[in-house]
Amino acid sequence: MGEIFIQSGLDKNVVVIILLLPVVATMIGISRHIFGLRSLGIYLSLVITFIFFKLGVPQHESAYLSEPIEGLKYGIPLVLLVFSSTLLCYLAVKKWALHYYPKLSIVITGVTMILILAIILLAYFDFKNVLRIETFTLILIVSITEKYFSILSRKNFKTTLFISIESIILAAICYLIISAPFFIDTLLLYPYIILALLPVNYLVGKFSGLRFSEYLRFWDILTERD
Amino acid sequence: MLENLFKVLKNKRKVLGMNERNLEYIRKYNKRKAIEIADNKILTKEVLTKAQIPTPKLINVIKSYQELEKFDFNSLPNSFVLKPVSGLEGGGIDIFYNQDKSGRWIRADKSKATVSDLKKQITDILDGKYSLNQTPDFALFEERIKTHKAFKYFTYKGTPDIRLISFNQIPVMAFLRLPTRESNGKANLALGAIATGIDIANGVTTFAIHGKAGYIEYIPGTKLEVSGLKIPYWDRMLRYAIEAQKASGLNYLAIDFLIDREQGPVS
Repeated sequence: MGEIFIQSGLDKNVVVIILLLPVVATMIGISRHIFGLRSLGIYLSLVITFIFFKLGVPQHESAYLSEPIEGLKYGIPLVLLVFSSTLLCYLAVKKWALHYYPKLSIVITGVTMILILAIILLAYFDFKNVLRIETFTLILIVSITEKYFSILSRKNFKTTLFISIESIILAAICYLIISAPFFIDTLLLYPYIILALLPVNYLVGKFSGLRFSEYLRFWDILTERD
Repeated sequence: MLENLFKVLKNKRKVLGMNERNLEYIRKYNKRKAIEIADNKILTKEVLTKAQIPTPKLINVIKSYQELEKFDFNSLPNSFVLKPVSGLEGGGIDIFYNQDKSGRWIRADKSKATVSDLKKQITDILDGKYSLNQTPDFALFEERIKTHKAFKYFTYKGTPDIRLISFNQIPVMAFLRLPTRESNGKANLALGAIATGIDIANGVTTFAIHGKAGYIEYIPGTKLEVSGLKIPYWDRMLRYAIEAQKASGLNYLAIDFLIDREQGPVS
């Protein structure tokens, strides 16, 4: 079935990502309404999941599976670098009385410069392949920079750090699930199973029970005797 | 373990979770139009005023860069509040208590703001930094509410606020938020403010939690009990909540009150 996509000229890599997008979006919806993770981290988690995924795909043409260890090995340092350089640039321009968007552009410029510098330095000291960056991941990086910046400028540092860690962990879990070869091959073989996500999302959308985080938060009340 | 599980199953109905609140109350009983009004501070003010519920006096609204350029900052009083019209979770709200000799306004933490600091804050608001999905917004100035004497020893700097939840014109729950030193004078739980439940029948505080740390009996660093505090003007606030519900068409309504030293409760 997946062959139809490929015969119609789509790259297998692209097909995999198209099919995985709704899967990850569903997983993240579940993490919010069933587990109770906070909303600001959700978009971030989706993007970070695909950064991990893309970085785990070996760089030869026929490769379409993502290797979990590789994805996390390249992905986590990259995401942490982006986060810390966004923070650094944010702190540098925080006090400047500038409009919001030009300030954001300065931060994005700063983050890109730090990334380039990091690549050059790593190459100089012969640490090749520590940072892997390509067009697709670069666009995702800019979008997480924007998100970090907007959270930083509205919330305090502690909250931002917390949300970032939460989103990296959530992304890592989503990534480990979707990178299972069995999972991807099944999706490619029977792409229409993503239709099954519709009722799943409908059920999650109608779920009015307590979230996992609420069970923890209200444990005292929930376990008290009348 | 098993015993706890049974207790949880039995007690589950005691807690109204976010999923249930959103789906079964806010979504089900509130019209979209009414929610839009509630999300906009200026429209809310109009509706409340029409229903004869006092609100902090509006000093001015800035709707564009042009209006900002023309705005005379000398017309501002010594003490005021600057807010985004469609802000989220209290973001972008700045409270000024006084003015120093060189004309700078002073915040609760003694930091100061010049006219250009205010201008920058307002352009951020206009650019939508604090609004939902970063859509462009308006900035408003309103009078600062002065803390009522009843709270004098219970609060640190900022003004405590009272949230009432009313359902189908019956007030069902209420709590009081007290700013602390830790929360830097802000009534925000995430920052370390205190929240106490209020007995809906008589307006007396019951149990309290401090930030996310858990139950407390005394205001930190004092021997003041957090329970047993009688909230002034309680019946009036209950009445206002019901009136607000009638006027707004929100059948599940949360309304916040501040109690002014002279005016009494304002929303």
